[in-house]
Amino acid sequence: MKSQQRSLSQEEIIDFAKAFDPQPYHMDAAAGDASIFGGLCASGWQVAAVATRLASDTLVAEGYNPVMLTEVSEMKWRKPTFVDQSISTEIQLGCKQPDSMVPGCESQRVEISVFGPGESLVAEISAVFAVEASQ
Amino acid sequence: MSNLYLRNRWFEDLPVGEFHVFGSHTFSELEMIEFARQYDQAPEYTDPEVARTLRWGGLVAAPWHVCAMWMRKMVDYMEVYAQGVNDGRRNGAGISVQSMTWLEPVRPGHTITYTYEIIGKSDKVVRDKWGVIRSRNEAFNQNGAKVLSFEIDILAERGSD
Repeated sequence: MKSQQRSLSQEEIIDFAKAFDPQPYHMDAAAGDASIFGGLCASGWQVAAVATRLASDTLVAEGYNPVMLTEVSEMKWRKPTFVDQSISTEIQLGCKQPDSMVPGCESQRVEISVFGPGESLVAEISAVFAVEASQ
Repeated sequence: MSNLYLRNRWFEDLPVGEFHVFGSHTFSELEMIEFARQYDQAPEYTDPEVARTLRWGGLVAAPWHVCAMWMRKMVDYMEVYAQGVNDGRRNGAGISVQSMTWLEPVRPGHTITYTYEIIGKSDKVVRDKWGVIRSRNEAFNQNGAKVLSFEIDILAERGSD
């Protein structure tokens, strides 16, 4: 399953960074250029949140009902996400477990590949969502 | 004194077992809704009226919100102890996360305390100068219940010798 795309404006990147990740390379272009990332880039947590939202919207559109993200077994940040770069995700459903920390739900493993421009891999997220228990 | 600080030490000087309490944050209903409107569509996180009728019996914080606040607390904690060291010099980017689980809902007015412990150091050298520090991070509510737990690998600059 493929998700929609989304990009983050300079304002959105800086706003998130001011609230949650106020490090210079997420708030200032010159500091970004001088950093290990080579440019002003989004906080990895903002990328994770956006990617999870894209994946979750896709699951809804495909008829699944993700109630809540309950686990990230592994997440790798591969590349920075710069201003106005589009992000999209590709989703593969993994195994299902009968219980969840969310009452009345099952656990559905979801492998999320996060892509930037030119299908470059930006991040990989191995997640578990609570989904409505099947009747 | 400076030996206690995270950001102004080299990779070699950060010992496994070192433990820090980054600080606490009290989540307000308003900030929970603001975050969730952008990053999570579920009414559990965005609509107090509807949330009252749903599984948690009230509004709860979006999972990534609880986690993003960990980052904020870490940055604030490091800034206090930065002592004029340029950002990024000895403390670099996060590269991966393991075993992240959200264990209990965070509700408006809950005060969450974030802790950090160094649990491993990798011999791997990234881009000729960075080592990798693995830490276990936990968050507890005001009643002592664990609400979030994860491990993260973060780059730390290796000393020149």
